[in-house]
Amino acid sequence: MSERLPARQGEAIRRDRRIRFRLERRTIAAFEGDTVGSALAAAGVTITGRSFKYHRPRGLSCMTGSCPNCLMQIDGIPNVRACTEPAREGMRVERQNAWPSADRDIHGWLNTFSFMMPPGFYYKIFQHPHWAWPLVEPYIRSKAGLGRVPQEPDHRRRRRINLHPDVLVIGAGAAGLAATAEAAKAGASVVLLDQGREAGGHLLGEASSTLRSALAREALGSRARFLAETAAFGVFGGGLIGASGPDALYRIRAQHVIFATGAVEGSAVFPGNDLPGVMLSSAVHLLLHRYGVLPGRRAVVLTGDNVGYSTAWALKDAGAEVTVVDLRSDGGWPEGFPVFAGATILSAHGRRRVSAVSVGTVGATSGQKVSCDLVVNACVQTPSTNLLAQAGARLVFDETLQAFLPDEMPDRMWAVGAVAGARSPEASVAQGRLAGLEAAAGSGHPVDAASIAALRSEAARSGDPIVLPPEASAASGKQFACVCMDVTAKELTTAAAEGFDSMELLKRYTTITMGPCQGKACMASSQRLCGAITGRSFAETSPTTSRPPWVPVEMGTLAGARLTPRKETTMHDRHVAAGAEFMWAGDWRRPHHYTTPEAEVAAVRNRVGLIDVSTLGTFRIKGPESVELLERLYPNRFSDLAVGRVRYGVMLNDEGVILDDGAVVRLADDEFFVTVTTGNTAALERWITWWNADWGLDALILNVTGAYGAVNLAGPRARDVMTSLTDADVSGSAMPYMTATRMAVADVPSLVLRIGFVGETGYEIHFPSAYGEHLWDAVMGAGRSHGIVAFGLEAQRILRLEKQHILVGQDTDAESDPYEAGLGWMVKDDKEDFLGLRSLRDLKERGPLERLVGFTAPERWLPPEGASVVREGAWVGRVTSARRSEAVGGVVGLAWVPAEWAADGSTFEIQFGGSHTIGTVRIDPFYDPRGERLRS
Amino acid sequence: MTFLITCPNCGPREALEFSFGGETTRRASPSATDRELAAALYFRRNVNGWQTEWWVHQSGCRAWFLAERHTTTNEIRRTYRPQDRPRDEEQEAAPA
Amino acid sequence: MSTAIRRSPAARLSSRRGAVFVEEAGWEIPASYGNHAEERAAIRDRVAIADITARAKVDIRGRIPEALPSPADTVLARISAEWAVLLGAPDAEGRLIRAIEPVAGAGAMVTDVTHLFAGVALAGPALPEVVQRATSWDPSTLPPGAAAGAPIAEVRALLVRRELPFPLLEVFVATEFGRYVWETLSGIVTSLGGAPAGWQALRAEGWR
Repeated sequence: MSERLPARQGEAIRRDRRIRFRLERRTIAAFEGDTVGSALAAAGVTITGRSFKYHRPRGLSCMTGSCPNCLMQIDGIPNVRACTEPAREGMRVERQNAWPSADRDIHGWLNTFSFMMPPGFYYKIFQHPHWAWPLVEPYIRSKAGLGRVPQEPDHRRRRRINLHPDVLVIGAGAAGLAATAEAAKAGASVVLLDQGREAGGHLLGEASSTLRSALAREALGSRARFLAETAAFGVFGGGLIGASGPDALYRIRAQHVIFATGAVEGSAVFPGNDLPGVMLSSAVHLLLHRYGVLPGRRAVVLTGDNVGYSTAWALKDAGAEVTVVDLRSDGGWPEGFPVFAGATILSAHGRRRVSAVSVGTVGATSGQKVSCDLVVNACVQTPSTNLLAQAGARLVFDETLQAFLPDEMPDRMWAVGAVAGARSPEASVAQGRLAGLEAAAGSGHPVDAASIAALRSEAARSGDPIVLPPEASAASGKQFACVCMDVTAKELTTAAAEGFDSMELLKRYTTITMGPCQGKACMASSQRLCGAITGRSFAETSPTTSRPPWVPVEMGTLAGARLTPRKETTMHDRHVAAGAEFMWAGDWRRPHHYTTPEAEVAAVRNRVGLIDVSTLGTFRIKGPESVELLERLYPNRFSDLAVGRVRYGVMLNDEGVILDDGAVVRLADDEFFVTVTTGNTAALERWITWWNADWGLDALILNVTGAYGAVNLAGPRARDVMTSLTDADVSGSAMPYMTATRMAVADVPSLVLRIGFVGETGYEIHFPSAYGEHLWDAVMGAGRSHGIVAFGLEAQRILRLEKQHILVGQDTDAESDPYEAGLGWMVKDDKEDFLGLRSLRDLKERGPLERLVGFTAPERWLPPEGASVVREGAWVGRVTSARRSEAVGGVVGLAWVPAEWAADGSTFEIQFGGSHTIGTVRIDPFYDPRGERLRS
Repeated sequence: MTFLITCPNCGPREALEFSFGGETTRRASPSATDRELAAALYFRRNVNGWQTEWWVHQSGCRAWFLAERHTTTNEIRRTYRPQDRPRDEEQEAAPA
Repeated sequence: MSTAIRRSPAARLSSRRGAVFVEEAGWEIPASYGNHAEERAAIRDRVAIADITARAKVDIRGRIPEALPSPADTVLARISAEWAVLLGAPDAEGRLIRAIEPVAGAGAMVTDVTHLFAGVALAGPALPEVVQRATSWDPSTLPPGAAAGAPIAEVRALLVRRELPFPLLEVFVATEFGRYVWETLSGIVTSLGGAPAGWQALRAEGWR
């Protein structure tokens, strides 16, 4: 049993500040400064959860957030690492993956029947009977996963912060703090990250805090920026480092990066190595020295070098009985304990907690039993090289240290400290200082060359050789290579025998190293086992490819800080005030309707209406070769467009397919004002400017979309309204259809176009956008006595449909050419060259296979967009637009039909989802076919 | 897509600031055969190696420029303005 | 006398924050947000955001001379060899165009873009922290007096770094994004302990 110790110097807990939290139905007493894990240990709670697959009881193991054993649901959030999560008053803590409780889990039977569930079993079972699989699969899936996803929406605000320091230091242990101190002292801008609340790394577990405090003062007292609880989770292309902090995502591009990510203890592989009470030495040190908790009274410490004895001493000093199992047989070990020399732990025994171990020589199947309630692994240190590997570092096996260490680092990157093989705090500090100085020098800050030389010798790697425990034990029983995913040594052997005989294949088939720890706790033991099984040495079995994220990242952190740009016209507030229902048109907010589309349509046809068309894309094109540019971009002819006149044009690509349509206004000999469809503006800006760049024409282009607000004033009374807004002559003779004139409208300097998408007398007023509210108010005011009404997009759609005005992208698609769309009259194929010329030649010769035609249909059923045009049950076309029209009576629409049907009066069948109707082709516009109202 | 691109006007920036314009192409002439037209419209060299391609600095100066990028490593060894294109490259791209 | 009045797209949002508007040269500008002294303090000691949409702006592009003389009381933002934007006081655009067109040369296109951009000024020692939260662009690459095109709050912006006793960045985005950008940046400014400031406070601290 673990228990709280009397107060000791240097502990992190505040014994004068008591707090309480709930573990399921129990109340747990703790102190401020405790983590949930340390508080539970102090309270004697042994089982912290049940394993992923076999529901085996698990207990605290690492106390550094590097293993899966203590993942708990805390205040509704799943998979929180209890060993590092600070305990807070009133917290609600629940252990996961167990029912009814972690102490007595009904699914323990899975452990008994584990033989039925080897790795990959779900690929193999229920081949027969086939029908059973869909019944069993949901049950199996419900057993997978850890924790319950919260159902409440997550409204926490997240930030996204971009940093560009001279030097980034990852890891605030001895090496990281030293690097930060030196770089900051030399004048570099430094950012230091650590996933813990406090700086110190491994030093946090030391009994004496002298070195840690001194380094922290040096590093954190400088101008360096320390981000605590912020873990770097990946290295991305171009040297971008992603880190996740409390409610924040950090994107860091540093000129120099120093990796001080330390090393993590691994567990030896023997039967029962996953029992509660089997811990890593890091956990023992942290529990003893920071949290004042004795993890067990009778301890067995497994070690292969002298460093492990410090753990034995720490336990003995705290009052535990300690036995050491030393893998070395050649003497020289420190005095003070009963020692089994040249021995290893063959297996651990116990049901819900370890109660004894069997000790013997390597290879024995049984040995001497030693009773204990705590087993400490102090023998395998795995450098945390994941991030380095992602950054492109080369890892090479070091025989002395029995580990894969970084050999060649990419430019402007360093690896220092335990991750680079440093065996003592002094070596870590020297390495850190050296890297800090070199990085600062690289950023142009002056450093002392003599210091660098001195540090180089101190920083060299050295140390006694390490003896590792055997890859697996010869004793019988489940021994785990991967504790996250419940993969045993035997299962790895079987998988290799099935043909998955390399580390990468074994990983994919058995899922070892793919769990919450991402290989921190198990990569080394998995590599060694894989090697042993396939006849390779540790040195010959590289770790698997490292990929982000290296630590778990909340989805909210990645997605939560996203911004959604939206575009609004300068008349937006007027639409809101008029009660508009808005819709998204691309990333624009636009009024769909204000009252009802039908009422708005009637107002435009009978009186006058006003619509905000500011969203229209507009370009200013000027230069000696601007005509040439337009001639090449459009099939139309523009060289003969007179100044002050407007021409409707359609842009094609080289396939002859319609890209967009709009109006071209000639403002001067060498200057044009071009409009394009709202939704296509950005893409067309790139299209036009690219061709201009590629052809190298002498023309300049400026996207002036937002510079101009625009409204379309349309209806039989439009002219009356216009007359009261301007002194200019707006009569039909002075301003005929398809002309453009500059004038002041309501005192606002404007360009007014006589065009009419909706088929009535229309004035499209383009004006400097900041006058938006003023102009809208003025026009609506002037129109009041004429019964003016604001109309939205839906009304506009109905109105234009009654005139058979096509909408590119709605009535045309990625294959529509101008001939079949009825726009062939625009194509001037006698021009020397334009985009699409070559393709159109073939299309013209062949003739259209299908045609876009207008049609009317009976009132009773409105076919939806996309409804099928059928001939003898076969699909031969589709409806692209359809609406009910009061002016025309019945349904009007546009549809693609076989070319031979495109004759006025012919009929065709339309079907959709069980309903059907008959369409009658109408070649002329349904409303005002001769366009008299439009041109008046 | 987090590598850096050096815009000839603005200097090194994140790739996210740019829009990709594809490898440099040669437009089919008005007198092209069907095969030549199809090749120009639908086929690309698509090299595994160094590729000359167009980029536009969409979130910056909005200028189009060319880059020589290695399609496997995303290393960019050169960026330059269209007016600095070698003469033969320029002629290749212009319509006949 | 014209009754036509010009407004910034963020005017309504400023209004909600207590802006007091005055008319200047046909524009409604936010002169203050109710506490002149506090606004000045925010500019000097923390960070402030101001709506400078009313500024005159002239776009000059094409084959323009390396050295473009800019009239007094204007700021020339030279983004590239082929693109510059001239910034001035409200309603100065006509005068600026007349002054710059002759010197820009025949190979240039000069356009009044006063209405193409909405503008925001960010001023104060905490400016770098605002920028860190609004863009992946590295502001240390912009020397004082220089200009660049870069994304801000995910939209393309024209950024001009001014030389004043305190850090000041002028940010211009397409008008249609004006309200969204004001909303986003003022949210960041507020979260860092800053506040909106009016033209009075900004001018009192030396900005033109």
